[in-house]
Amino acid sequence: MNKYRCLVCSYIYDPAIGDSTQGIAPGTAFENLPDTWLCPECGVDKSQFEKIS
Amino acid sequence: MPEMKDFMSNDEIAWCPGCGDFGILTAVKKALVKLGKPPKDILLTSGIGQAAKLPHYVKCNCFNGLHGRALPPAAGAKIANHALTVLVTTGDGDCYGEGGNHLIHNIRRNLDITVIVHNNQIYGLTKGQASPTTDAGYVTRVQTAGVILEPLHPLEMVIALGAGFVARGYSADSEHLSWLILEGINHKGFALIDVLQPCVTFNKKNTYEWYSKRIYKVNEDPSYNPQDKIAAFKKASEGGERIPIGIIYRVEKETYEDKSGINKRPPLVEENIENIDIGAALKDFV
Repeated sequence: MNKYRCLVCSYIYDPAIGDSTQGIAPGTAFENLPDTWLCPECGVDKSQFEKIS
Repeated sequence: MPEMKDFMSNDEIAWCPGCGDFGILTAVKKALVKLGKPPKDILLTSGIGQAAKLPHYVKCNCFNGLHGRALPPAAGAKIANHALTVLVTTGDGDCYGEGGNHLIHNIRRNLDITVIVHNNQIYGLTKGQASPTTDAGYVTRVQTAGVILEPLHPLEMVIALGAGFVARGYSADSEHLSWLILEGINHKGFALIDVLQPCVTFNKKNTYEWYSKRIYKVNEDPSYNPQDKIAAFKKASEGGERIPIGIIYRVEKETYEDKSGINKRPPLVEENIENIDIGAALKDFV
């Protein structure tokens, strides 16, 4: 599973960690995040992320 | 050594989703981590505007003052405590508009402070009026026929005024911007970093897409010499279809601390004032 970086604020979504602020469990791939998921730092949607590894 | 979490503030962030300020906030915190000083030895000052909120979102010392007056408390704090790392976070309106006079004279003063200008080319907090850096012709709710004035060119201006460290960053490249901020902090003297920053709500021209097509890193060109003032002025004049980011100009100059000798003494805040009699001085006022 790949990490993704927010193009606005540089937040990195790490699938090994998930995102507890929005109920995303560890082990959730970026591709499987719901469309309603937003960057927990700056609030943009998934379209503003790029794959980094 | 401090970590990112040491600079995390509990304040709720009140910027629009996608605001360029988020990238600047990330870059400031990354630079402070690399600097290696504890939060108690760092001061952020600001005036009024969206940029002026940033000190609230970093856990360290903070002074949020009046519109355009981000620089005077920074200068005062540095004079009282030259051991303090002092950063100013201000906007294109706050710094180049209301605070223009403070900018001019603090460049002259050349205190060892770092000024980060969030330049989104619009007044965001007050809902989208033209700022000093708004492009001519841009239509706002107030300038309904388009801005009729030429924009200010901040980098050309501060180079001409004699600033020793002049740089331009881009909010969406926080790694590069954090490097610029750290270089600015480590520069002995006044450092100004103008940061291109999209305003997703009120500036529909200078967007992420618009910037990403135009910016390039000047310091990737080994032939570019940032110590050459004439070359720096020409580089700062570039705009339109190609916009340089990086260290545009850098030259060491004698600082206010050197000239005044305050850095030869302990910081004023550490001096013992217990046995000082100010009675004679006070008599002049009565």
